[in-house]
Amino acid sequence: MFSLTDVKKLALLSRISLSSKEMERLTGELSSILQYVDQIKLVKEAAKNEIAPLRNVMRSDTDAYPRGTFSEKILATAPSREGRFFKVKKIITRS
Amino acid sequence: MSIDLSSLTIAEARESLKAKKISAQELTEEYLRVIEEKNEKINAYLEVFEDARAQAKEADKKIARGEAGVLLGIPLAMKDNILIEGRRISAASKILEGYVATYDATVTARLKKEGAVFLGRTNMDEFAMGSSTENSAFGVTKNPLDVERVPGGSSGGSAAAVAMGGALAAFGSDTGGSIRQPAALCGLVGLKPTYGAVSRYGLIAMGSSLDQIGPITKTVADAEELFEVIRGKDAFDSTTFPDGTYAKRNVPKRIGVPRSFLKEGLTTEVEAIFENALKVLAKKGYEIIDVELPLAARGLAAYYIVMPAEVSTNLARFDGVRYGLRKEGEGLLGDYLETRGAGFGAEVRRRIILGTYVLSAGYYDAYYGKAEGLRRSLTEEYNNAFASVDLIVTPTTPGAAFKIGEKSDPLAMYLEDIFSVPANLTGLPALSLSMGNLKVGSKELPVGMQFTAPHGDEGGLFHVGKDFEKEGV
Repeated sequence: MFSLTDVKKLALLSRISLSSKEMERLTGELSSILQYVDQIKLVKEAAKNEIAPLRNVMRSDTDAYPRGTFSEKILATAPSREGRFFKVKKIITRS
Repeated sequence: MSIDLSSLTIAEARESLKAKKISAQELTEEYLRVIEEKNEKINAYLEVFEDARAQAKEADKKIARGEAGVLLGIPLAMKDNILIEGRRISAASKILEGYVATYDATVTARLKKEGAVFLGRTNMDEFAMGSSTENSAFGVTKNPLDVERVPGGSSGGSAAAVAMGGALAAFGSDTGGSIRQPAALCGLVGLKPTYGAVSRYGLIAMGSSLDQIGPITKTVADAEELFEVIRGKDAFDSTTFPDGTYAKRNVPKRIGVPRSFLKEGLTTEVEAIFENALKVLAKKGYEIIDVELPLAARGLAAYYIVMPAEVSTNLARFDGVRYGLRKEGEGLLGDYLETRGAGFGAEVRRRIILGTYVLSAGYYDAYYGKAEGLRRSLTEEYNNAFASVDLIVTPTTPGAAFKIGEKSDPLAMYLEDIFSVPANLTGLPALSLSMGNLKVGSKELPVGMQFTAPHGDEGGLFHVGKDFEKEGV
């Protein structure tokens, strides 16, 4: 069901680098898992309840923390930072 | 001091501490001694906290001052995905290398408030994905009852810690059976509470609509005590519900058995033990009634769609920018690819990719939409069954603890969850306790029985569990 091309594409979408050996193994494994979960398509009861009943579970945002309360703590766990920012590589380049 | 750790309960420990028969420091010392002796072989703990003795000393001071706290001086173990501020936490993954928790989980805060002593953090399947604890980045945990076998998973370290006598009780998380299955395979009690009964704030998320934190203990009464401490509405988890949300149920009398569901992979030996357990329940005065749950057998298929979908979104946050590990690649995209490729283990990679697939354009309706639909129909089915019975009982797993390395095919491992996933899909509470031993070669291996109750009726589970326990099966 899965081709090697599918797995390659999914790995990129998932932002995971995979060795070609693992991609091959996954092609087989994912196919057999998918074959198992495919039985869901046969269950007619599954179709009638596809739309979830909606209810609000959000609380009102009344007692927000003052800005920056946790910034230092959180930034301290980052692999790389600059001042009060996470540091990442440049993504826009001049063509 | 003479205290038998193998049968010690929380209530007994509290009494002994209060009566000054033993100090919190002595009690903690006993557990540390067992850990020192056994952990190298079992690998239940990833880290034993250096300040465990200091925590116990603090508890002794509070006891001396006459301070209250239902868990004052009680030594517990925490799964490596429940945050304790200032301590390392990794979800047994390399991607969280060096990460230190920046806050307390609500469960942690509630346990601290009652004076619990945290002994350490326990091994698990990476990000709670697995049924054997073989998927940890830090080595497999062994079943203390037979070290050639798995302790179950994903909370295998927590179960092994209690089973080897290295903690009075432990906490785990359950997304598809990860508390109940290891409890069953280690001969212990495990509770998966009603969805929303316990706050998930500070639990490293796997499947947010399925996850619940719960206790792994030696007795049902211990599980009840710990559940009472951690349960309740929490402003930091909007899916928690206040008291009175669900109608109070009567003391359970009628127990339903979904016989056609049980045909899914149950071995004849386990079936015999289960039938015997039903006889015990009948003798205790419970009415055993056949019920039909035709959709339950399809639960696993829905679960292996919903769960990976939620996994793929939840684990998107591990990008090498904000936490733990960063592997350099070409450009920012390269950093993402390399960090996640190297940081996640094989099972985590597999589930993220599967989740990405079922959520991708064109497949959503075929998979995720259908699975969510089945989930709601399954919930209706259980709720309808609860009109005629008070509880539903099944074995917890199809068999006893299996050998390390025995289930190398992912699908074979997934089938281990067949009886446990319906509780997560429906949000119903479920309790596993030992129903007897299976003779495998020269060993006696425990097998678990699982009771499922209506939403909010953990009380019914504890009631029947204590009743069954008294028979000493």
